[in-house]
Formats: sequence, structure tokens, C-alpha cells
Amino acid sequence: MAFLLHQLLSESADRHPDRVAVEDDRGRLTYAELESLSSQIAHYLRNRGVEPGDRVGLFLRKSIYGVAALFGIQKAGAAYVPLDPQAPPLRAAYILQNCGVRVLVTEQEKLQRLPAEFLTQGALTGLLLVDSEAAANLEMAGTLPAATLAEIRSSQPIRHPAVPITDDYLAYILYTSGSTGEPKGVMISHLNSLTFVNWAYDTFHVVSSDRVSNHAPFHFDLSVFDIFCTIKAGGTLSLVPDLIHPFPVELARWISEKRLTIWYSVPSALIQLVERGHLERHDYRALRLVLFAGEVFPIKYVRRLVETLPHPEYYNLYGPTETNVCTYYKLKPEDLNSARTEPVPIGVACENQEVVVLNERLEPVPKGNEGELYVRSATVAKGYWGRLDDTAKVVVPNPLNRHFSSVLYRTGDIVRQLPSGEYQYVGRKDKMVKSRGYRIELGEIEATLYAHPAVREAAVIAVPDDQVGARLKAYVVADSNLARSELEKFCRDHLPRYMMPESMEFRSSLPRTSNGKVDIHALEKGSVAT
Amino acid sequence: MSMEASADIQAIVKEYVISEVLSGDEGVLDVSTELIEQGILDSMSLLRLIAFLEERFSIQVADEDIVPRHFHNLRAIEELIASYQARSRS
Repeated sequence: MAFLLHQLLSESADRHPDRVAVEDDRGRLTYAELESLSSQIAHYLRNRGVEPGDRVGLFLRKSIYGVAALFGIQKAGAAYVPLDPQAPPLRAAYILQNCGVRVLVTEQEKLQRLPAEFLTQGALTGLLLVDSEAAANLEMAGTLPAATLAEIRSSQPIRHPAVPITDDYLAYILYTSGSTGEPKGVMISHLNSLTFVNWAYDTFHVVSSDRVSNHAPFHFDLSVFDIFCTIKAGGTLSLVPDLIHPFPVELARWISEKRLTIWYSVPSALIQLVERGHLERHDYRALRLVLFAGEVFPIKYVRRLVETLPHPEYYNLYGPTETNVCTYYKLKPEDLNSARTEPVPIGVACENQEVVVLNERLEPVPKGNEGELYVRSATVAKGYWGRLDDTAKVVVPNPLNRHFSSVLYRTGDIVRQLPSGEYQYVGRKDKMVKSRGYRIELGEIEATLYAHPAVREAAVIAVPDDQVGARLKAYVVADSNLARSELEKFCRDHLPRYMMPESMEFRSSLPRTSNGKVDIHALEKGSVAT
Repeated sequence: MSMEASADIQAIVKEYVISEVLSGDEGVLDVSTELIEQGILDSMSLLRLIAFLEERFSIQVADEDIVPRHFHNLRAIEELIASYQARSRS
């Protein structure tokens, strides 16, 4: 029985060596090819000094080779650390240094963008370039040993290296927005991840004839379902090409042409397909399952989607990165009633997980009352890399169990249980918002603004938006010589694009509440009025 | 809105992309820079660009025209706008 994620690949490669495991617009790999290429990558990583428990970074555009690399990293006993391919170089370098990556899997264009000192300092002992033909092209790597995929293919053994790790080892680290100003790395073990993958595999009956989309980037945990459930089932993972991603009409055609059977994405992608994709023009009979997660899916768009494509089953999946999915809800016909305005529920706990709603004193609230959602499950993350204090704030002793030690994950999400037993999402307890499924700590944006020497006060608000979740507005009090363009550039150098404020307003002062805090409500009201 | 010459259209679109998408960083952008391949335009910034173009040039971009060949670089965007303007003139 597989107890490590990469064993799912080896098992499927035994059963279906000639089936296509992964495809993109440039190529495809069969299970046998993916198994042997990932083993070769693992041998290279071990030669470069990667030990069980180490971290290996992935900084590259999405491709079939990225999938081979992440399995190769796991086969070497290490955790993969996927970076946003569009991340500002300073942020990428921060993350790679923060968790001490030993080897970086990347491509030339991304490598050139990283600060030079990153390559010469820290724990880095080697590079793997997926897009270069020969090491002759690698002068920018400086003194670091580097290899290309072509070289690894022609030199490394194809047998699976025997690296004895347990399911308690980290499988990957996903960095998310941190409220104190720096991203934090959510550490997910093989056990954490496999608990989710096994649940999803059983619940959605994923089989070898399935053709599954991969829309989410690898640093976003929706990709975990796509990659590992598909590989466990022996199905085909179809990566949405970068060139199609932003174009609804093209994406709609691509889903149909690829005869996808399972689609999983954030609601905002589905909203664009409904709004501009002309779904009615194509044949989606192959599509049997549509999963969405990451943010609230406004009911009016759900209705239009289901009216256009009535055939698939639809599920709302809910869960923070720290638990992957923890509740799920299958859409029912009555949810589409035209009188309904509230969003679909987040549903009930996944099998093998328990959720409870507690008040501030950690006592269960009566059914129907609002409270914070806590999760008890083997999916609960090991915590945040190098941040024991932050981890202890959210992974807390289970107050409902006094007989042996167990923990709950504190989601920060306020929910309410409906008479049906299902849970309804109500809102956040803190200043975290979602935009296109991405978690954004407004405090991290504010901290970035404050980091500029000329900024004296800063506040960021999120204006709710039906189609993308939230639009960010920054209010700044700054020294008079600070140009907007300079502050914008400063932010762009430090924040991922999805966290860039859409507008920045310079003011002589910020409104304050009676106790001296920035009056966020006044700013929010003002932003609606304009 | 009067009809702009193609050089003007290009300048307007370029200025928008530099200020709103690249936050003022003009170093990388010329008429043939690959906007999608290089990740300069993603789904969100593309939709905002289209909303801007529709308002600025008083045009309505058809969903069928929101495809890579019309948005992959500044020249392609300029040609798309010019073709809309020519249609509205005739």
C-alpha cells in the first residue's frame, strides 16, 4: 500500500506503463516515461547532496517536466517547494532562502531574474534546468554545479532510488500570504496529503479513463488533487497551456477538445467561462465532474453554469491550505431555485475528518449559531516552516478531548451549521481576503507599504467583487516627495501580482476610530461611494 | 471619441500597460514584446485591459476576439482596435 505520494506513481506505472500520465501543449509523458524520468531526477538530486528531509525549489512555468521534477524531488526523500512563476525575484529568493532549498529546478529565464547573491549564498548546492539543451548555455549559473534535463536523461539510472522515509516526512511546502509581512510556508507531510488524496479518489471515483484538468498553479493546493488523484487512478493529467489560460473562448474550446472528464478550479475561472466562454458552442458530454474551491461562488453564476452544462456533477470543496479540503458539498437542484441569493453551503466534513464550531472560549456553539470552524484530521499541516509561534496559534490542543493528545486546526473562518447539518460560510475573523482563490493578508500588503521609508501611514481594504472575490485599494500617507510610481514599483518588487493594490490613494491623514485605530469601515464606506 | 491614428493607439495602450499592469516599469516593453508568453498579461489584467480599451475607444470587444492572436503584443492590440474603429466608421 502506498504511504508516500510518489509511490502512487510507481504503482500506476506498473499497472498502466503505456497510458499517458501527463500532457501539455508541447508534449506528453506515459506512466513508464514519467516513472523513469522522475527516478533519474531523484538520482541527480541525490548526487547533488539532497538528503531525506531536504527542500528542493521549483521555479518554472508549468510543464510536463515540472510534474516529473516534483515526483523526482519526492523520490529523493525531499519536499518540493513550488514558487509562483510570476513571483517578484526578491520574494522568490526570500522563500528559497527561508526554507533553505538545496537544489533549484528552474529554467533560464527564471534563473536570470533571481538576485545573483542568492545563487552564491545559502544552502544551494545545485541547479537543474529543464529548458536548456546543454550545460554550455549555463554560464549564468556561476560556480554552482548545474545539469540540464537532457544530461540527466542520458546519464542517470532509471530505477527508482530506495530512499527510506516515512509518511511523517514533508511532501511539499506551499507558501501563502503572511499577516506580519512575509510569506509563510505551510508544511504538508505525505500523510497529510495522502489522507486528502485517498478521500478525494474514493469520493469522486477517479478512474484510469479520467482526463483531469490542471488549471491551478503548482504553488496553489488545488493542484494537489489534480496531480496526485489523477496519478493514483492511472488517468491523464492535462495541463492548461499558459497561452490559453487567460482567454475564456479558447479555454472553453480546449476543455471540449481535450474531452476532459474532471475540471477543478477556482470559481473565478468558471465565471469567466460562463461570462465570455460561449460554452453552449461546444460538446462537453465527456465532462462528468466539476469541482470548485478557494472562494465563494456567487449563486447567479452557479445557476448559469449549470443551466448551460446540466450534465456534470458539481461540488463545492472548502478548506484552507493547512488542511487541504475539509468539507464538501454536492450541488442539489433546489440550490438553483431562482429565489435563492445566498451562496451554496460548504457542506459537511469529509470522511475521516471532523469539524467543530467553537466560540472564543473554545466551547462548542449551539447548532445554528455562528462560531469559528476547527478541523481535526490527519490532513492538518505540520505547521509553518520555521515559525513555531505562528504554528502554535493555529494548531491547538483539542479542548474536547482530555484522554489523549490531539490537535485541532483553527481556520479563522466563521461558519454556521444549517438545520440540514451542513455548514454555511459566513466570513473571516481576521483581515484575510480571497481574490481569485488566492489568500491575501491585507496586513502583509500594509507591512510592505510601511517598509518604504517615505510611507508614514498605510491601510489596505478589500472591496468585494462578484467576479474575482475582492479588489484591493491602498490608502497611504507619505512624505510629499514620494511619487506614486516609486511606491508602486516598490510594491511590485515585493508582492506577487495578485496582492498588488489596484489603486493607491494618497491622503494627508487616515480616518481614525475613537480608540485611535485606522477606521477601516470609514475607508470601506468611502470606497463604495466613489 | 475621435479616431486615433495607429501610433496614438499604440501609445495609449502602451501607457496603460506600463502604468496599470507593470506599475511604471517600462524597461521591458516594446511593440513586439510577448505579453502572454512572458506572463505580463494574466487573466485578471487582460480583462481589465479590455474594459479599459472598450471605454477609451468606445468599442465593444467581442468574446471571439479575446484570443491570443489579438492580444499577444502591443501591435496586435493596436490592429484589433483599428479594425473595430474602421468597422464603426463604415
